[in-house]
Amino acid sequence: MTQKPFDAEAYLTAAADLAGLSIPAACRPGVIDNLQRAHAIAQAFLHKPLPDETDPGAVFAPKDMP
Amino acid sequence: MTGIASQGYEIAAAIRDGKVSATEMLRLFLARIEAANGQLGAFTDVTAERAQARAAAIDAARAKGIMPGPLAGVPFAVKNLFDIAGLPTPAGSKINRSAKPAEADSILIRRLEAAGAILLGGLNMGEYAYDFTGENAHYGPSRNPHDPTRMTGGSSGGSGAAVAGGMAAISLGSDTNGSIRVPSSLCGLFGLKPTFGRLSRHGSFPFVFSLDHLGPLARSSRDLALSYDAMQGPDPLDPACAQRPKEAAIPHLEAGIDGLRIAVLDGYFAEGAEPEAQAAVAAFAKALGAERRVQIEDAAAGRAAAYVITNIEGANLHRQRLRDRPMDFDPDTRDRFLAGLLLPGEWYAQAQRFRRYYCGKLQEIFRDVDILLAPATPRSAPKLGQKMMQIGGVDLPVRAHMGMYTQPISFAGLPVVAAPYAEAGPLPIGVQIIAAPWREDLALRVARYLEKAGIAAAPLPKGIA
Repeated sequence: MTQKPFDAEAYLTAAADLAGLSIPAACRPGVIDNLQRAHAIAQAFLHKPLPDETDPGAVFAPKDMP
Repeated sequence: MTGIASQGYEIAAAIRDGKVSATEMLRLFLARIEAANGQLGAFTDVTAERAQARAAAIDAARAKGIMPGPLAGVPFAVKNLFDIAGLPTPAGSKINRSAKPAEADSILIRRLEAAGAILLGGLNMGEYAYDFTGENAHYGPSRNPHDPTRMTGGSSGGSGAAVAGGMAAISLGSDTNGSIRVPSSLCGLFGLKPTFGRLSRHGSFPFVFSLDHLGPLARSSRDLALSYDAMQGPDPLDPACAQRPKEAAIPHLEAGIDGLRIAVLDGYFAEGAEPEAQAAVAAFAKALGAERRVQIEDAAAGRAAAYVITNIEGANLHRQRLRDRPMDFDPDTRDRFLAGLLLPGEWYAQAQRFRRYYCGKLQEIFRDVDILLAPATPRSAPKLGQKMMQIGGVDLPVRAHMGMYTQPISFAGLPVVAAPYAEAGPLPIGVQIIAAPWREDLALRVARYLEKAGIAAAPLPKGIA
């Protein structure tokens, strides 16, 4: 199956709406470029299969109450 | 004669032996800052009065027979994301410049001063540390002392310019994806990025909690080891700081390389580097008798996951500032941060789990290797303002790719000494000496061996004495 090309401009509009974030018009082209870049870069690890037991490493450690 | 070209340990010895006073040494460094900082853009804040008071106190104590510490009177400066009491902590930004002044020094400044060192001030950096160039839209670029038309590398650009320019013996930087190792390479310095969690980050302005490291830059392996030892120790105020006792590197520094299994990183790390970077690695490998070559499986994927964690965590840190004052950011960081606010959370979770998997693969490599060698940067310093560079015949953005060899290493939290190649030519370049977690001592030993063999060296640029 061929993956649909990523439409960074449409994604920006939808994701900024979800986040309630107003992107200044002057920044839109640069943000679109950066979304394209992040999308291309992330492909290198996103599809690596990981065992279920691979945890992310971070452990929240509650502190003693005073 | 002891002067600004002297190593930190030589300055400390001369002050301890009474050959020169801390006050006189400080005067030389303040004069050098006055003369060179306008051209090199290293310091954003000079704490001259505070430094003079410290120097006078050290001299007075010595006169009473109280011997100062191992860094007696050694002038150092810090990337301006370290808190300095009484000053705002700009972290390279315009926005934070108007924040309230820090109430106390960062813990690493306090530990260096407890060892006798003297703080000279805060240093220029790429905005919020999201940078590999040393350029800054608000404060101007830090300039490479070996050729001021070229980049220092970043984001600890001022930390590179100050030490390579003879304005401080030692500096502190931060390294999230390469920000100590890149300027060390481009400015011809020794830089130490310790194991993730080794040095406390308390009192420093963060960038990416999962990946931020702090460490020193200097002109010798001994100064790295002395300052590193002075800064070690547990600190409950940094939740990522390992609660390990100090493991001093100085006692092992001259132990040589006997018994060490040293290999050169192949695959990803052998591809794309320009000839000067390849020559430096080859010279280090030859001097160390390192014939074995090993590969890090998924190095490119590791770099990619580090990119995504950096983009998302860094953006999250600035989420309110990006909403309130987006146009006050440096344009070179703003659009990346804004994009980071929009990336899927699922990518972040996958990147963090991938990190654990990737570290497991690296643990396997260190079962039968002690040290790995790799380029620190793909090339020597680009021109200031240069946006693209050719790497392996391909045009790539400078800002994103100067860290292509550092990012997959810090992603696993490994300790690294970036050491400058002695025969690099007019423009410096460095090599990463990488060890297993918590074995900074081994990387420093190898750097020291190469220094003694004349293969690694960090001379000041011509004309500075």
